[in-house]
Formats: sequence, C-alpha cells, structure tokens
Amino acid sequence: MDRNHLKRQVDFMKRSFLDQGYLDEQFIQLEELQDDDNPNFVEEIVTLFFNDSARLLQNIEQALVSGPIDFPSLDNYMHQFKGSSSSIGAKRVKNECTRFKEYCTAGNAEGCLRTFVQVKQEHAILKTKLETYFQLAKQAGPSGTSGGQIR
Amino acid sequence: MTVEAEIDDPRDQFPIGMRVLAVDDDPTCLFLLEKLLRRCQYHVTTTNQAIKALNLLRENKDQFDLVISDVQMPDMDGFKLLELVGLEMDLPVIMLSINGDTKLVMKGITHGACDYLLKPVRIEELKNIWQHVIRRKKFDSKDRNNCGNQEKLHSGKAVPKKILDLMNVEKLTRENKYRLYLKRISCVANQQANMVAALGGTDASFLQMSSLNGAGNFQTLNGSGQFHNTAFRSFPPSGMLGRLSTSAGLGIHSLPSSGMTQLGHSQNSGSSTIDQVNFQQVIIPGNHNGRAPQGAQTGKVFGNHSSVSFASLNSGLSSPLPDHRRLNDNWSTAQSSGIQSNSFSLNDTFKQATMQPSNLRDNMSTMALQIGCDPCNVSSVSSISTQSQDLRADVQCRTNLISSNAGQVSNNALAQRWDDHDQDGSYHSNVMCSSINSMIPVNGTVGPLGQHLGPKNTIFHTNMDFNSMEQSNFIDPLYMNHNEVNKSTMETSLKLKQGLFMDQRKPQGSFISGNFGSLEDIVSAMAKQEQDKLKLIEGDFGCDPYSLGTCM
Repeated sequence: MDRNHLKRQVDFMKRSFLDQGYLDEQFIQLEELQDDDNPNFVEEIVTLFFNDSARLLQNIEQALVSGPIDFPSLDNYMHQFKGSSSSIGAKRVKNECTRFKEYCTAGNAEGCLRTFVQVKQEHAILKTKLETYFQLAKQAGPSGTSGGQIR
Repeated sequence: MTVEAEIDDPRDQFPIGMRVLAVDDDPTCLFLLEKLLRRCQYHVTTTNQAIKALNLLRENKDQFDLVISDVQMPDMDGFKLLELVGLEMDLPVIMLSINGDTKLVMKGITHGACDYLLKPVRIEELKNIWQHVIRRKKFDSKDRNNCGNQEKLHSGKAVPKKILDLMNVEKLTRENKYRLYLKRISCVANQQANMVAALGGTDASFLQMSSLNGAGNFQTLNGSGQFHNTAFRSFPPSGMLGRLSTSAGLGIHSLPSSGMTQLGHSQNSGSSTIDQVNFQQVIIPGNHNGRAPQGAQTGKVFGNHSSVSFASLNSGLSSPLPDHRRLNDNWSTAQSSGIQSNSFSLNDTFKQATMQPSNLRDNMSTMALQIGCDPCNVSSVSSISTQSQDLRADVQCRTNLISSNAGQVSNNALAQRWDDHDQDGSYHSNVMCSSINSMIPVNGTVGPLGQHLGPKNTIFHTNMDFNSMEQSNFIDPLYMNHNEVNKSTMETSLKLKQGLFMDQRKPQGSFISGNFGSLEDIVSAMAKQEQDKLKLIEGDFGCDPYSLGTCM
C-alpha cells in the first residue's frame, strides 16, 4: 500500500516534470533502458550529467568573466552542455543552451551573460527536482524488476 | 574495454555481437550511447578521446565492425577522425551530433560517413546501424579481389589517380576515396560482367566496336573482321560503347576480350568468376585508353578457348554491336563522367570479345576458362588499348570484369531489362549469328557480353553510385553522369539480355539480388529510362536477342 502510494507519487512527479517542460521524452526513454543489468541506470546517468555539467558550467563562467570573451570556445562548451542535457531529457536547460548559443554566434556578450544566468538557474532547479524524485523512487522500490525493497 | 574472447561466435548471429567502437568526449552521452548499444546486443567499446580510438583501431584492424563518433570533440575534429578511419581502416563510421544542420550533415557524408544521427540518439536508429557493416563488407570484399588482381595485372597505366585526373571528378579529391569508390564500382562492374557473360555477351558487336576504334586489333581478333565491322556499325552502340569508340585511345578492344572471358567462365563456374572479375579495373581503363594487359591475358585467354563453354557467350554476342557512331557519342559523354568510363570499360571488354565471333562457338568453353582464371580484371581493363593484339587479352579481362560485375549485380536488373528490350536484340542476333558461328573466339563472346555489361555496367555503376552515395557522397557528380551512361548501357544490355543468360544467371542473380536490392531497383528504373532510349537506338540494332540465341 505504502509502496503503491509512493509509486503513484513518483509517477505524478514525473508527469508534472514533463508537463512543465523540465523534462522531455528522452527521460522516458532512459527509464525504459533501465533493466536488471542496470537497475539504477537513470539515476546513474543523471548523476553523471550533473557532475560533468558542473565542471562545464565552471569553465563557461570562467570564460565569461575573465577578459575578452572567446565566443568560439564558449560555443564549444555550450555545444557539449547542450548535448549532454538533451541526452537526459533536460528540456528547459537545453532550451537555455540554445539561446545562449545564439547570442554567442551573434557575438552578443551581454546576451550571453544574461542567458548564462538562466542556464545556471534551470540547471540548479532541475538538479533539486531530480534529487527529490530519485529519493522518492528509491523509497517506492525498484520499478517492478527486482524484488528487494529499498527504503 | 570488455573484449570478449571469441569473436567468431557473435559473428554468426550477426548483427548480435557486432563490435562497435563508440567515441564521444561527453561522458553523459557516451554512457547513454553505450547503454543503448548494449541494449541492441552489440559488443561495445567506448573511449572519450579520438586519439585513443584511432590507436585502438590501428592496433588491430579487425577488432571492430563499426565506429560511432561524435562530431565535436576537443582533441580531434570528428570529421578528421572519420576521414582517417575511412582511409586507414575502411570501416563504416556513423557520425553523431546534437547539431543537425544540413551543412554539417553534408560535410559528414562527403567525408565518408555512412550515416549521420542526431542526439539524443534513439534506440530504434541504433538497431539498424548494422546494415552499414554489411554493405561495406559486400563492396569491400569485391574490391579486394579486384584490386588485388588489378595491381598484379595492371601495367600501371590506368591507375586510379590517372583516371581520376582524366575524369576530373571534383569530389574524388582523395585518391583513397576514389579507390574505395572504384572498388565499389568494380564490384558492381564485376557483377555486371558476370551477368553479361551469362548472357552470352554480344561479343561480335562489341568486338567490332572496339575494333573500329582500334582497327588493328580488331582484325586480329576476328576471323570475320568484315562482318564485325559491319555488324558493329549497324548495331546501335550501347551508350557506353559509343563512347568507347570515340575515345579511340580507350582501347576498347581490350575490354571485350577480358569481359568475354569472364563471361564464359562465369557461365561455367557459376558465380565463381564473378568474384574474379575485377570489374573495377575494367572500368578505369575504359576511359582512358584502356590498354589491355595484353601480354598476360592474351596467352591465357586464347589458350583456353576451346575449353570454355561458350553457350552463354553466344547469346551475349548476339547482342548488337554498338553503333560506332553512337559509341563515339556516348563515349565522349561517358568520358565526361568518371562513371562512364567504367561502364565503358565493360563495354570495351565486350567489344573485344565480340571481335572474334568465329571462335565464339569453339571457344565458348575456352572463354569460360579464360574468364575464370584471367586475372586481368581491372588492370587489364585499364590498359585496354586500341591495339589489336591485346584485344583478346583485354577482352578476356574485360569479360571477366564485366561478367563478374554483371553477374553479380545485373542479374536481376538485367533480367528486367532484357525482357524489355527484346526487340533491340533481334538485330544483333541476326548479325551475331552469322558472325558468331564462324568466329566466336573466346574473346568474341566477351564482346557481346561486354556490351551487355556496358549498359549494365553503367547501370550498376549507377547503382554503385547509389550505394556509394549512400555511404559517401563523393560520387555525386559521377552519378549524374552515370545516368547518361547508364541509359546507353541499358540499351545495350537490353539487347543483350538474352533469355538464355537470364536463366543462367538466376542462381547468381539470387545471390546478388540479396545484396543489391537497391541496385536492382535503381537499375530497373534506369532500364526503363534506357528502354526509351533504346527504342530510339533500336532502329539500328533491331536484333532480337532471342533470335540470336536461336542462331547460336
């Protein structure tokens, strides 16, 4: 009962993420990839994303504040960031990345700075939401694959 | 890297166990990609550096079947990696990127990527990537056979680079790429050649054609030189042949002989000759004055005449000799496009084959042998010269080339064509009958076959282009030209397509069809186009391929 309730909560949360545009279909694909071999695949890849993206964001911030902006290299960073965020389905983050790249291409330093703030914000929000999500998911137990109860 | 001990077992269940090397500097993407690939039951190796990937590939060239790589990487540009892998290892490479700009995709394709996927990658797309491995393998194996022979036989005159220069193909800027392309073409050509051989080639006409250009050689080859010439002229040259004529230097005759030889052989030995035929080689020389690898082939070709069963050749021979005039016209067109040259070479081969109609009957068997064992494949073709002496050799080689190609690829396609162009063949058959009966040397048979192949070759070339286009688009310009050539060749092939051949070809065809489904479709389409063209040209030929068979 309790587990079912938790499961429903998890599902609800996920659906709200989708509805609000924090996540997209790709996230569902990730969940489908989860299986016995990798029961925590989604969590693993999301953790990997946040660790790696933190590094990337630092590099970008560095490039933005130190001296004249090197747009091509900024574009490169953001390109990668966009790639990884789309891989986990981080929709809003990805959209902000696209905007950032546009300003980058246009050579608009101010636009880049503004958008970068947005990027960081969305990134942080998503991180918090997903952390909560995974905690809840763990409590609810594995999604029907293995039998153990995870509390 | 989790390398499984046994590589053979997974191969048996291909695509399960297909060995993929995934390269992406982004850990998240790489992790996801690995998971997806494993879900598809591939054997996955990952690395986040392009340099490491290259080292892995260089260590053991047979370690992987396919490479998937991101476009944007810090240590090396993805396109650069793509090129290197293509050149050094000739493995299929799939590009991945979040950026789906047409320009980038085009860049990927022109650099040799066999596919370009957008991130985030879906598993459905990855489930199909094994097709690229199969495709590449099919072409490569043929290429290797051809190239190997080619290098041996080739006198060094018609090297890809030269041809490339001559053809002045824009996109084939890299010799290797061209080489790869040629490989693909030759495979196709070989198939075509085989098919032509099966058809029995329209040797007489072909030989005549070439002889017309080469004059000297022709006579040597044909007992009934006169006849050939006449027949030759009367027959509307397949697009290719015509072209060949004009390019006198092309040494058309050399082609037919080689082609014929092969045809005969392929006939006898089924699909075995197909592999031997190095169509490619034929193709290359065709354009440029193919100088037939005279010395080597001649000996072989003629020696075995008697033993070769020429049945197929006869029918092939009946195919109308391409109209000299037309050939010239076509040839020039062909020359303009690299592809044409290829098809031309085939035609040449055939022509030469036809040149010796008198021996055809007697030499059918011989031809078969010759074709089979003739290494002249490509090199011979390239060296196809207008000189008569080498015609035979050339023809043999060509025939081989053509038959192999024809056989492989054109079986299905040709079948279609031939049926359509029966009317065309009638003329040829008439001519052929008389000439063939008397002369038909092994070479002779090659001629007609060559002719058949010519069109078919072009067709195949087209197909090849298609295929290659799928994989790497550097063939585009050629492809376009090819259409022209194909049309002409189609005509020829139609004429050639003898019921006999078709039947014989079935077994081969089935083999080929499996592999070249797309080609066949293309060929069919082309055939239709050509049919229209043929109709126009038919006037000249008027030969009924079937009647030819009867004569024979």
